[in-house]
Amino acid sequence: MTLAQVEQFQVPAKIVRQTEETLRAAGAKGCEAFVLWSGRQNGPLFNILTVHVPKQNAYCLSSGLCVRVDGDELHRLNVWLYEADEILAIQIHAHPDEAYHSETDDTYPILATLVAFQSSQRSFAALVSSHLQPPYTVSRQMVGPSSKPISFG
Amino acid sequence: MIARALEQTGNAGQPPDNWELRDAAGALLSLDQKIADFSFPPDVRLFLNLKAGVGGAVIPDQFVDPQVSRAKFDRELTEYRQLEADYRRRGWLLVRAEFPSVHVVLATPQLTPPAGFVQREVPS
Repeated sequence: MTLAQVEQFQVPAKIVRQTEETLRAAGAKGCEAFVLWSGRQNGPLFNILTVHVPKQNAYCLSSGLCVRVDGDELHRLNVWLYEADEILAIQIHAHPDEAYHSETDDTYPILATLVAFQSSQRSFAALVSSHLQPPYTVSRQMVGPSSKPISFG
Repeated sequence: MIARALEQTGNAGQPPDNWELRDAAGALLSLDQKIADFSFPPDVRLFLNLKAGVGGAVIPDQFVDPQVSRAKFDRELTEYRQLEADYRRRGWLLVRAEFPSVHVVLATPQLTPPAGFVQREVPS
């Protein structure tokens, strides 16, 4: 069973709120932020159970913003996922203005499984928020031919 | 081994060079060693992790830890030195190697008289 077989993601409202709060807090400081969702797969349904805000470094460069999670933290997360019997399913981060996947996003994803790779290329909803300039917007929709629904409940 | 593991698990989002192998305590394992060299117990668990995850609208100048870049530079230089006699026969003369650059003079020894020097700086 792989993530590519998932047809629906079920996301608790609490996790959505936590995610938005994290992205807003980073945005208020002029930074981008990474948030990760993990959970368990049951056939075509994936239940999101845990929100992760990994230790990360945000950079404000003359050419723009970026955020990086280093290997030590990714190892800690990997061990946690193994012990909790959860798998990483969704990677979320913020952009300062337009919501899109940059070349950096596509080149260095934390979630590197096939479904994530396909998604970063064209079709996966990433809940990318435009948080630094009003109005604040969060995309909650999938686009593209292989879209998969996300339920917020 | 890493490439095979990534292929079997469908992890195609980053190339094999961007992954690292650690034990459960987080110690990095050298990929240059044979598995037998580690003397792992039968129930050992190893973790294959990304070296980094990055997002944003720009690509920073340096993604790799400078210590890692330095280690790779030294390793490549050592491998070059091991084959230096062959390179010299081909007309490659390594005149300076100071991290992060290597200066190589490319000659054409097969010409009579020998001529045509080109100097190349190869940043690592």
